[in-house]
This record gives sequence, C-alpha cells and structure tokens, in this order.
Amino acid sequence: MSNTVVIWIGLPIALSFLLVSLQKYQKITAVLATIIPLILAGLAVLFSNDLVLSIAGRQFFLEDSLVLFGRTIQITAGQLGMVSVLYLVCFAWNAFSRLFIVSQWFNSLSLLITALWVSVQFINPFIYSAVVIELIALTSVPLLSPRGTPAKNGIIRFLSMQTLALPLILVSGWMVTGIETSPSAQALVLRGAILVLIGFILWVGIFPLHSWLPMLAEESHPWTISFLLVLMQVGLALFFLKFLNQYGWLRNLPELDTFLKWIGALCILSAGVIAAFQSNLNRMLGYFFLAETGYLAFSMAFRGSGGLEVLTMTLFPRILAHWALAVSLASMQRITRSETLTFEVLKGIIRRYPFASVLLLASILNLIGMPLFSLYPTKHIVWKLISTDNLPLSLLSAVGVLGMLTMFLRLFSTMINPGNQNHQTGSEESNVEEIGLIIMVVVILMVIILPGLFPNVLSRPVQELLISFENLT
Amino acid sequence: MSEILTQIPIYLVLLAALVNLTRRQWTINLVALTVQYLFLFPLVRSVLPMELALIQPFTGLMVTLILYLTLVSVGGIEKVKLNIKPTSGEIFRALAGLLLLVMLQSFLPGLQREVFPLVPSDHLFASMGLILIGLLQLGTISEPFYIAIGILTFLSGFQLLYYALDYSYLLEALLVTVNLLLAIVGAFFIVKNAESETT
Amino acid sequence: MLIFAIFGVLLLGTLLILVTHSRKPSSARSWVIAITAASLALVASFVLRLYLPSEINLTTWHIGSSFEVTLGLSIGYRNWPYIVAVLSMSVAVLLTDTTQADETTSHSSWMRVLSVTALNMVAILASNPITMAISWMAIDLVEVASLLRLSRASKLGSKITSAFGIRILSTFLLIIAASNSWASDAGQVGYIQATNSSIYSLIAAGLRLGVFPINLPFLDSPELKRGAGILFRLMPAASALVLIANLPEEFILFNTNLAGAVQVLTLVAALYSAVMWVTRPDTYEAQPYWVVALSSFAIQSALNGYPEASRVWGLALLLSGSLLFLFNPPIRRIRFLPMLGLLGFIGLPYTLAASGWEGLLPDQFNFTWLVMILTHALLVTGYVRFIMKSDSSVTGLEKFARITFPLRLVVLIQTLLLLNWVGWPGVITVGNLWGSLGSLAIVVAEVLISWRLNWQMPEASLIEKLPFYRLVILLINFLRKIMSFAWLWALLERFFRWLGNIGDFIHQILEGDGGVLWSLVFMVIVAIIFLSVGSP
Repeated sequence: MSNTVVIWIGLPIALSFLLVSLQKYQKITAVLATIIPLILAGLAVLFSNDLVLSIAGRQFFLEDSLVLFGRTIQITAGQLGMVSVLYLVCFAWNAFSRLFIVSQWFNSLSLLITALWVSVQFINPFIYSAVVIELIALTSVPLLSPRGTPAKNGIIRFLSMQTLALPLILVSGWMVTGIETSPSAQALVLRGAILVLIGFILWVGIFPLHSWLPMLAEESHPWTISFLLVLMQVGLALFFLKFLNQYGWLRNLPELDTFLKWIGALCILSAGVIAAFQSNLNRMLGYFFLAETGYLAFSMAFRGSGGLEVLTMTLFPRILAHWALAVSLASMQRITRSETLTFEVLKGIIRRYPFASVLLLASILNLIGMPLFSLYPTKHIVWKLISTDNLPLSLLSAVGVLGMLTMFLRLFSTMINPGNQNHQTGSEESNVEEIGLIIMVVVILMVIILPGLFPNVLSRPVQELLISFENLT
Repeated sequence: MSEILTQIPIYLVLLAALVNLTRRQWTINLVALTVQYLFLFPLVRSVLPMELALIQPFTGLMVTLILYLTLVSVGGIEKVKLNIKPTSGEIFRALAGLLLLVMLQSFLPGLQREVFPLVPSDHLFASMGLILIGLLQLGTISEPFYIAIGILTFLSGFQLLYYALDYSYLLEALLVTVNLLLAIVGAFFIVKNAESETT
Repeated sequence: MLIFAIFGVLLLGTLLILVTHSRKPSSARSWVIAITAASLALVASFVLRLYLPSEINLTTWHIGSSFEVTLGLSIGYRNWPYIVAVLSMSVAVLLTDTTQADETTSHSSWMRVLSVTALNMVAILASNPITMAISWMAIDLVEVASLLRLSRASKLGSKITSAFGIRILSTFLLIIAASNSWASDAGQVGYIQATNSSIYSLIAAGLRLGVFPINLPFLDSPELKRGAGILFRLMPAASALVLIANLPEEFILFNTNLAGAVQVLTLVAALYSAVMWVTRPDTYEAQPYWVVALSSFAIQSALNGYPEASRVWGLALLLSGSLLFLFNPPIRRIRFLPMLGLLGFIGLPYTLAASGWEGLLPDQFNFTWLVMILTHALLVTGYVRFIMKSDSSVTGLEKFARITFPLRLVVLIQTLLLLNWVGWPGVITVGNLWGSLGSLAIVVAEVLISWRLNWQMPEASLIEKLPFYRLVILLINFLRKIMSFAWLWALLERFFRWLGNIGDFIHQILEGDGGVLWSLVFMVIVAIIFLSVGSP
C-alpha cells in the first residue's frame, strides 16, 4: 500500500470495481464515490511537499514508483498537486450526482475514469498513455449512452475520433526516437509534430474535427458529459504539457506557438459563431468546451510570456464554471422534465423558475468571461496577451466572444418572453421552486462571483501545480 | 512459390476486411472477422516470437466470440443467403475499398522509403490496407455493429504495423484490453439497439 | 476612509430596512431609514471635497505574478461632482416617494434606490476600466432584474433584451479597451488609459448612453414614470460620462478616421434628439432624447479634445434632468423652481455649463458650431416649454408633501449651485460668448414663438400652411425612420439568418454520415498547412 501509484491509481480502480458490484445500493455508492475522491485529493495535498507523513512520532514513507510489465509508473510528491485536482473534479461531480437522473454506473465509473486519467499523466514511456485515453473513451460509453435508448451518432463519432488519435500519437513516439541527435532532423520533427498535433486535435475536438462535441452533448445528460469533458480537458492539457516538457524538438519548434495561437483563435471563433445560431442548450455545452479549449491553446502558446501561469490560475475557475453550468442545465432539465433543453422548452421560464434561470444565465456569462464572474480575471489576461500579439487573432477571438454574447441574448430573450400558449393561459406566475434549489443557487452564485472579485482565492492553491514540468517553468 | 504462399494471408486478411466493408449480413461479417484475425497470425509471426504472435489472433477470436454471443442473444444471427444480388451501395463500397488498396500499392514504395524503412513492404501493405479499409468503414456507416468492426479493423492494422516498429508488454496488455473493451462496447450497442427496437 | 463611510451608510440603510421590515413591516420607518441614510451620504460627499484627490486600493489580483491588477477607487475633480449629483438625486427621489402613495413605492424600491446608488458610485469612482467594467456588469444585472419585475415586463420582452444587450455590448467594448490599454502601457496604473484604445472606451460609453446608434428603448411601464424609475434611467449614464471625462486628451490623434465617423454620428444623434425632445408631448416620452442629446454633448467634448468639458453636460443631464422629470405633478405655482435647473446647462457666463462650450465648439469655427448651438438652443427651449406647460395645483398634495415636494427640487438646485461654486478649480468662467449668446438668441426667439402658441405644439392645420411643409414632413419622416434604426436591425436579422443557413449547411456536412470522412480530409488539410508553415 505504501506506494503512490497503488494509492492514487490502483486503489481507486479496485474501489471502482467494488462500487460496480454495489451499484444496487445507489445511495451507498454515491456516498462512497463522493468520499473516496475527497480523501484521495486530501491525501494528495497532504503529501504534495514530501512523501513522508509523521503522525504521533511515527513516520510513514511512500514509494513513488511501481514497475508494471517492465515499465515504470511514477508519481512524485511534486506531481501530487495534479492528482488532487483530478480527484477534486471527481468529488465535485459525485457530490451532486444524486440530485439528477444520471446513469446508474456514474458513481463507480467516474472513479475509474478519474484513476485512469491520473495514470495517463504518469505512465512511462508517456506516449503509451494514448492507449489509456482510448480505454477511458471506451469506459465512458455506458455513461454517455444510458440503457433504453439506441446508440446515437454522437457517441459513435466520439469513439471513432478517439480511436483515430491513438495511432497518430503512438507512431509519433516511435518516429521521433533519437531525433535530438539526428543530423537531418527537420523533416522528422515536422512529421512528428504533425502527428502529435493532429492526435490532440482529434482528442479534444478542435474545429472542424469538433463535430462529436455538440453531438455528444446533445445526446447525453449534461451532468455526465460535463464531468467527462472537464476531466478530459484538464487531463489532456496536462498531457500536452508533458509532451512539451519531454520533447525539446516540439517545444522549440518555432511554428508550434503560431499554430497553437491560430488553433486557439479558431476554437473561440468557431464556438462563438456556431453557438450564436444554436437553439439547443445541451449542444451549447459542447461549444463552451470548444471555446475553453481555445483559451487553453492560447495559454500554452504564450508560455514564454507567462501563459502557463495563466493556465494554472484559470484551472479551478474553469472547472467551477463548467460545474456551475452543468448544475444549471441538469436542474433545468429536471424541472422542465425534458430530455433536451431546446429554446422552445425554455420560453418564458424565468417567470416560472426565476432562481434556476438566473443560475443558468449567470453560468453562461461566467463562461463567456464577463466581468464580475470568476473566469474574467484570467480571461482578461489571455485577451491582453492576444492583443499584444497580433490584430487578426484579437479580432477573431473578439468575434467569437461576440457570438457567444449573441447566443446569450437569444437565450435571455427566449427565457423572458413567454410563449403564446403560456401567455394566454396566464401561467406567468412563479412556480414554487424547492427551497433546497434556491439555497443551492444562491451558494453557487456566490461561488462563481466571489472569485470574480478575489481571484487569488482559487489561483493561489494551484500556483505550484506545474512545478514538475521542469523544462517549462 | 514460397513468396506466393507468404502473400496469401495478406490477401485473405484484406479480402476479409473488404467483405466486412461491403456486405451487411451479420453472420458473414462475423465469419470474415474471424478469417481476418486468424490470418493475421502469420503476419505477426514474421516479426514477433510465437508466444507473442499468438496474442493478437487470440484476442481477435475472443472479440468475435463476444460479438457472436451478443448477436445470438438478440436474435441477430440469420441463415446466410449467398445468392443476394449486390446493392449499388455494396458495389460502391467494394470499388472504393479496392481503389484504396490499388492507390496504397502505388504509394507504398515511397511510404516505406520515407517513413517506415524498417517495415517489410508486404507487412506494410497489409497493415496500411487494414487501416484504410477500417477508416472507410468508419466513414461510410453509422450502425454500431459495423462501427465496432471498423474500429477493430483499423486497430488490428495499426497493431500489425506497430509490432514491426516497437514492442512492449505494457502496450500489448493495454491494446488487448482496448480490443476486448471495444467488443464489449459493440455488444452494448447491439443490445441497446435491440432493446430500443422492442420497446 | 470617508468614501467607505458613504458606502457603509448606504448599505447599512439597505440592510436596516430589510431587517426591520422583515420583523415588523412599516413603510414610514423604512422611508425614514432610507432618507436618513441617503442624506447622511450626501452630507458626507460634500465633506469629501476637502480630501480631493485620493486613491483607495480595494484588492489586487494575481499577487506575485507578472499579471498583477489592482482594483480600486479614485476620487478627483472629474468624478466628485458626479458623486454629489447621484446622491442628491437619490435624496430627491426618496423625497418624491412621499408624494406618491401606490404599490410601486415600497420598502423594496427604497432599498433598491440605496443599493443602486452605491453600485453606481463604485462605477463612478472606479480607478481603472476593469473596476468600472465589473461595476457596470453588477449595475446591469440589478437593473435587468428590476426591469423583469415591472408590471408590463412580459409585453416589453424584446425591448428589455435590446436594452440589456446594448449594455452587455458596451461592457464588452470596455473590457476590450482595458485589454488593449494594458498592452501598450503595461506600467500604467490608475485611470489614465492608453490613447490607442480610448476609442473603444468612447464607443462603450456612447453605447451605454444610447448615442451610437440612438438606442434608448422606450420602456413604457407605470413604475418607470415615478421617482425611482427616473433614477434608474438617469443614474447609469453617470459612470459612462465619467469614462468620457477620463479619456486622454490626445486620443483622437490615433483614431482619426474612426473618430471622424463617430463625430458625424454624434452630431446627427444630438440634433435629432434635440428636435425630438422639443416636440414630444410630455417629459416621460421625451426623457430618452434628453439623455441622448446631452450625452452627445459629452462625447462631442471628448472628440474635440476636451474630455473634461464633458463633465458639465453630464451634470446637466443628471441634475437639470432630474429636476425637470421629478417635477411631477407639475404644479404651476412653483414652476420657478425647476426653471432654476436652466442654470445647469444654459451655458451663460459664470453658470455651471459655461466651461462646457470649449468642448462643444471646436477651436476653429465650422459647421459643427452651428449644429451644436442650434441643438443646445432646442434643448433649452424644450426644457422651458415643459415647465411652462405645468398646470397642476398644490391642492392635490397631502400636507407633509407640500413641504417635501418643493424640498426635493431644492436639494437638486442647491447641488447645482454648490457645484457651480466649488465643483472644481476654474468652474466659474465666462466660457465661449459666441456659443452662449448665439444659443440664447435662438432660445429667446423660440420661446417667444412658443409663448404665442401657449406652450403647445402648433396645430396641424397651422403647420400645414408653412412653406415647404410637405418636403419638410417628408424629410422628418425619413429621418425618423433612419434614426429609429429599425432598418439596421432588419438588415442584421436578415444577415444573421443568412449566416445561420450557411451554418446549418456546414453542420449537415460535418455531423452527417460522411462526417468522419470529412474529418479525414480536414486532417490532411491541417497537415498541409502545418507543413507549409514549417517549410523554409
């Protein structure tokens, strides 16, 4: 047991199988799936300085590596910060999972998926992690496609794209072996970079290879899909940083930053412009992830001017923002008793369910990056970095944000304008919202507004998160 | 003569993949998948020792078995009808697959010289052929069973290629898990579709 | 510290009303708390004059990183007059509520008056665009929440959306300006902005004030005709005006073309609003035009390189405006009181607006002079006309209201006079005599005509006899259509639909059955692009 790999990868995987066998007892699995990641995150924080724990004069030492099939998996003390972030995500989503009608496998598989994402960061050689990412995609299927409904196109597209990325990454690893010492490396470097970048583009779903994102978001429950996408976004961002940290040829490629910047602008632009025309809130969730991927790409591209600092600062606010949006969408879905949140369903809803509506609108404003909300302080920095860099990028990003604002206003207009039928039957009066929901809304609003005024609250704890990427920091 | 003998598995594997791309009869597809995995063995054997070379075909057979049992449970196995006239879609897919293989053959020397100099050309042809047919399968259909077969074909092509480049026990274990999970996912989809059709 | 006392008093007042009312409802007690809090804050704001200028840091973002940003408040001669103005307006509005007994004047509306005043004060005192953007967002959310509570909100849906949308857009432009200013002046702290981004700030302010394009949606609901409604409509303009007053004087040099376009738009907006102002049947309907016209003056001042001069037009908008709009019911016997509001914007030597002429009229005489002087004269005429039309009597008021009614007007007048005296160094000045006298001459002529017409708009039959009547009417109708910007919205809607159709087409391609194959094509394209970027 006294091994970091066993504690933060092996044990949770084993516990997740235990939860699978206990899944008849939904309450118990939900409680366990909430407590276990919280404990794991807490332990990760506790050991993040040193793998020694002193209790009552006794010292507990943890080993930091494990050999499996001849390869080493290593989690050092400095890397435990990342582990704690991933388990906190798992905790946050499991803690509220009972409020919504999600897949019966959610609690057990969420723990398994988190453990797999942790393992992605620490397998050596790290390109083998690509296969683990494929495993994660396959494990997610029962969550994304609950029983009783046929398999839809989104999930199939998702699986296809994740699978296509796998060989690209693995072959890149083989192709660039010894590239640093190769005399005619330029062509190889470019090929390797293309494989790595396209692999990541397929994984995260960057325009125009993003189609699975909105499709999947439309088909799945917002609570589940947001959990998977948040973990994926955080996990892949860290994994890409690992690539940059390990591969000097990639890190020093002059075209890489330009490419990342254009990818960032394209993501923000496409997400904004497409979202502006959408009439389905579930799909918009996908576009928000696309836009956030753009901001991540920008942070990485500007790593020479403090971009990675921004990336760490924005980590918790971004997770919180997605979490708040997921809560609001899932609550809306529950109170409207509809499978997808089309604008038709949301007509005039602000008068019937003011608190849930306010939460939804505030969450969207937060994700867009408007002032007063938690994502603004960090997005402001990214916008500044973009504006220092070049005008076309600023313009494209600004158009993307404008698109998102257009979508917000269309939604706002729908929510305040009662449909004809409602208007005639006079159902404008407020329906009674549960007191629990009201309290939850107030608390979540505080959680997304306070860091908008005092961002240090969320950014300071993760200041040292990327310390293990010694070539980047 | 021996050269022809070594090439037979390559063409059988590709033919099986083409059948899966073209025909839409579950029983035939399962048989073709079995053939595909069985005849992968001599190809894998040419680059790996016997005990390691057995893993992929064995996994493939397990995968096929899982899919077969699932199809039996939902009543999807029907008597094979060989005398059905091919549809225009089937002809198109078959021609597209063949065209891809012909194009691959013409690009193969360059690909081998520039990118994969260590991989024998027959081996490269078989692996890239499977990858391309798998991709075509993924791009031309959205039915879960065939998507699963497409992904399996694509992955087996890739595995075949990667064996010639590098080998790792950890990676092999992970890829076996992926294949088996993929079969389970395919089975999951088949069951879901059958359930939703009955309700 | 005094500034915190002002905020504290306002917030404490709000909390006290909330707590006491929830324990034992009493309108009288709630009102006393509200008026006490507002009055104390007003008195404290006068004392604040002794401590100008001063800076207060509220919080620092991203401490220890290379992206430190300080949020804070700064009080100087540019924004102190606005603080006094908005606090006077709150006191006046609270006094107004004693004369109106209906369901819209309740403890919640007084709480809103206090809290919205406090929020607006943060925006006015904001020491940098980020602080201002945050407070703008907060104000807008509070405002949209109160608009949604209007009795006629369901019928005003689209207007509420466009009003809110324009606010959001202005905030967005302000954050763009904030991003740009930092880019070029990383070392700068405080309000001073980079000159190259100031045009965004100006457009942000213009949008918020309703000038570019003219966009003050006419929200017709009974609650908005009363005191608090007027406050909520006028007050948000204050922070936008402060933003204009803080623009660097030389910013125009960097944006000549864009500034030229903005200048033309402003002139058209000013003249059009002044004409509409003078021709509206009542002050309620005329309100938006008052805001647009005087805001145009403020923007014009900035464009002419005298952003500080915008201050007097902003103060006129708030103080003279509320003096007129709160003169309800318009009691004939005391109409001399709102008439004193003219002192706020008539622009004669040694009055408050005398220093505003230098901003309004460019250094060299040109066409702008004529437009501005005419616009100013029309505004004065309209103001006089609305007051002279007053026809109510004092008998309709309760006994105590006979004191509080004139008192609220007095509060605003005394603020005007006080600012005219100690507002800022150099406030007492002769100003531009050509401007003030020219405007006065036109006003006198217009007032004489109005007097002959008994302060009513001339009857249709009489107007029809004017020369070129048909042509003029045609022109006015054309201008009204143009300035309503309905055509622009229709055009934008059509463009939006067209784009939507293209988007749908792309969707069908990407999400259809052939989507994976398209993805493969795109992968190849990405690879080619990267190779072409990478190849020497």
